[in-house]
Amino acid sequence: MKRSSIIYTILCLLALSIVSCDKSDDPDDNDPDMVLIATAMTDAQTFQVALYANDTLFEGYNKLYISIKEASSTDQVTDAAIVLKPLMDMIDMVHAAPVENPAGVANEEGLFEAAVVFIMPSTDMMGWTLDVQVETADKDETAVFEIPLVRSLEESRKFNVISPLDETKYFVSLVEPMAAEVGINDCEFTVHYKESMMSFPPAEDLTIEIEPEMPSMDHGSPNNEHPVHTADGHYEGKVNFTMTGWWRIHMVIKKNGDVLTDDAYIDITLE
Amino acid sequence: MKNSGWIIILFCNLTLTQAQDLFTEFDTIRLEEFTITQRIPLNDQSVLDLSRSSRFSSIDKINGRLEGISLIKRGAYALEPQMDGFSGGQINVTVDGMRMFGACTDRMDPVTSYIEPDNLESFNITHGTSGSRNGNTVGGSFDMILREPVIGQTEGMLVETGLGYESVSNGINANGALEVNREKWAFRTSGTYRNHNSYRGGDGIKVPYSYFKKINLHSVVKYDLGKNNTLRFDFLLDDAVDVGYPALPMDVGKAKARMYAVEIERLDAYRTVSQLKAKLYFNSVYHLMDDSNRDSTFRLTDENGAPSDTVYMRMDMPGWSDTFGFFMEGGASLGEKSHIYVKLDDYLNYSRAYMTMFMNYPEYPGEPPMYTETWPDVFRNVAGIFIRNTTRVSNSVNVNLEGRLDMSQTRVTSETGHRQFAIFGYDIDRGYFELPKSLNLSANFRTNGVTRLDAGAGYAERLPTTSEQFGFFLYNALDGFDYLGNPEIGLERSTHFWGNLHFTWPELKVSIRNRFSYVSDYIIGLIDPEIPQMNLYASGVKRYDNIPAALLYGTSLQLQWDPGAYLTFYTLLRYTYGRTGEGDPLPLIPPLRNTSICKFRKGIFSVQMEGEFSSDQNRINSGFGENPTPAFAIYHLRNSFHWLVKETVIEVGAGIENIFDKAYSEHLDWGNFLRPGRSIYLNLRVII
Ligand SMILES: [Cu+2]
Repeated sequence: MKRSSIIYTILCLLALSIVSCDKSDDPDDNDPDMVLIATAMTDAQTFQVALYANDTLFEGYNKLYISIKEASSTDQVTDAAIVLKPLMDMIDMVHAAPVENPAGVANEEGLFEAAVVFIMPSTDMMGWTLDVQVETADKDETAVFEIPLVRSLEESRKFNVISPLDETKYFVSLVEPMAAEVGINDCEFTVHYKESMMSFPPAEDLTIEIEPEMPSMDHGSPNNEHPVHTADGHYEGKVNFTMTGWWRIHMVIKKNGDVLTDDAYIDITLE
Repeated sequence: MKNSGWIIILFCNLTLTQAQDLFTEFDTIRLEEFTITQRIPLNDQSVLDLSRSSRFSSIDKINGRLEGISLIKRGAYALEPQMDGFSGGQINVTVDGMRMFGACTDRMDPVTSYIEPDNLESFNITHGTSGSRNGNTVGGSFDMILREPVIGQTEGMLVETGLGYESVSNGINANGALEVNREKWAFRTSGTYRNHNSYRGGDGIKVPYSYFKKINLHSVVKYDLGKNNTLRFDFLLDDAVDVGYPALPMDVGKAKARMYAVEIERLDAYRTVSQLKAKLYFNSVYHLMDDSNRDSTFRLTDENGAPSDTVYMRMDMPGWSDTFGFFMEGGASLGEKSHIYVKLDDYLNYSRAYMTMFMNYPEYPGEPPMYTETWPDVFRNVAGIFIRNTTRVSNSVNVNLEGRLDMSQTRVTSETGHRQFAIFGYDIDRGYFELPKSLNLSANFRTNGVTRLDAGAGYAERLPTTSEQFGFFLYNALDGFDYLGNPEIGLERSTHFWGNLHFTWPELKVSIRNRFSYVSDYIIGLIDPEIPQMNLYASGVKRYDNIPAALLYGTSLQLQWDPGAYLTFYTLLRYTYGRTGEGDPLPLIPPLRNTSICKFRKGIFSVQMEGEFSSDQNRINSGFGENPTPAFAIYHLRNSFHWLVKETVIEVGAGIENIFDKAYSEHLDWGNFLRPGRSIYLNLRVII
């Protein structure tokens, strides 16, 4: 009797898990690379907004995927103007972060693609919130997310530069995910600068030079391509890795020929 | 002028040291063919006599004494043969005509290291472009013929055991062989064991990392299938462990080779067709480098080259090379005066080697390992046809015309390999197809019974090696550079001329040989300052490339004199010259050298005195890490006794090598580490 009841329980659990899998069409179940960060209702309860990312959020450039459904019908909203407002409340001050707002239409999976550069990690005392303003033909509502965690990474994906010329603060981030492997790799950086506590526009007039190195081996790699500006503060280049292991991409950043920094770097480890 | 002075000195030396002792490992002068035979029919007392102390010689010691052969030395073991300045992929080293390739990216395991004198019957050596029977080559071919038992004849069984000791390395050599001969079948198996510690140089100091240990086993079975058909199986095993390489930053933990072959031979099949042979073979080599006995601490430098920090690193560097192949060959008479020989062959080689570096940098604990593919899964298939026609123009003149065409396809299958080479602008996601070819014309003239002249000219092309085409940051300890393969590298081409003059009188044999090669598209590493080195200890990167021209010239004088029944004098004088088209010396060219032997034998006793002399070598290429090498002279003394007790032969050999404990190294020894100092050896051998 006892044994059969255990088997029955297991069978039920199995059945349940199969059923729950089947009926789900959330991106994180379909796409193992997608992580659900948080869900929230807009202030008038019209839309259910879900926030996905490639990984749990970290300090640096995070691509976000936003799913918007009508709460009443669970129909996916694919046409909306969306504005993101990340905020961190630091007791004595509040600041925002660089964002890249989605285009007005969702991608093939019905998700709006956006990005936020979290310029600092969250702590127990201070966290990030993210306002997602959804504006459709007849509605304009905002969902407020409490971001559960923004990790600081062991291997930093971003650094700050304070210009020796005018004290402007720049935020340089590696565009993730970068599936680095041995060989030629596309590498993309974003640079934003701080105009005010609430405004971080892209910096579009910089020159970036990169030089990869294996710090513990004292060698680099040849034939890298310095990133050049494409649009909206994005700089694209090529970086070459001759083996797996720990690489450091040294960066020199210049503005109109003046060096903003020449000792910055981003670390990348290839497994 | 200087050289001729040397020759006089050498001959004086020889006369002074006469009446001392000897050993010739083989009958070195065989004027009728370019074959040097070491066949030792064990019941032939006179040959046994000659080969006395050779039973424990390593194959390297034998090779080093062959005409036209020099040895590149990186350690006490596994010396790499060089022919007239050609080595590596420029020469074909084969076993019974079977292709085999070492699995070491740093050339620590030449194919010769897998053969022991105990399982070697003879060498078949052909120089320059004319060595293309087993594959197109510019530098020559070195075919090691394995011993086989004889079917039929007298039924019998032979057991042989031997034990030897060498003081300089506190080394033990042991071997054993069993041969069974029956009317319809025959079997032979032989094994060798060697265990040597690091040896002492002539300065009395131990040469670190010069130890090695190995076993070798070779078994052959032959069946008589009737109607002149025989079936033969070969199995060969060679395992070396803990082999030190003083000239390199790492040693070898394990070097394993296995060889399997099945062969059908048909003799006198038809009246016109003779010697049909087909062989199917597989060999597999595994090579694992090991740096666990090394200090492995490396210094990092800052921008100004000053020491900035140290790291500690271990490397794991395995390599594999598998070769599967077959060949068919046969000869036929075309009328009275002409003979044709045809060989068809094909081999598939699969080489791969990987490198993983484990860092221990105090500032960065827990760093992940670094991995790269030094030979990224390289497949090469080569199919070829070789045709030789020999025509007897007159009783004194033979003309030989031979040609070969190979069809080669090389492909890298590793994804990582493709990406690694993409960094350098190569798209290697395709097959590399080549058609190397060769053509040789030669003639020999026999005047009276005394004089014979061989002369010829030829052209040949050779394929680049795996390392030259797809090697990825292979560290070369001689020049301190990392070498990068060049997927687009072209064939190396050689135009070759030779002329050999032989005189044979009953008591005196003399041979003078001259070989000249003009090599175009010579493959060599050229510094590429754009590419940063990868290994911590490398000082830059060289990329393999074809340079327009190189010239190589080799000459030798060989003489054997048998005055009376008891005495034999033998001397070999050889010289090699090499330069690039621009006049720079080629690296690793041996200087003028002489080996002289004087042997006295009477009854159960023989004594042999040997001298080895080398001039200095100042024609060096410092770009390849060479240093000038001073001249040296060393002497060996060998004695042996043998007794026949009923059916049993007992043989005792004893001697001293490098009698005067000279501290020396040869020019082809990497890193100038010393050769062994004085060594006393003792051998015992019993044949039942
Ligand atoms: Cu090796």
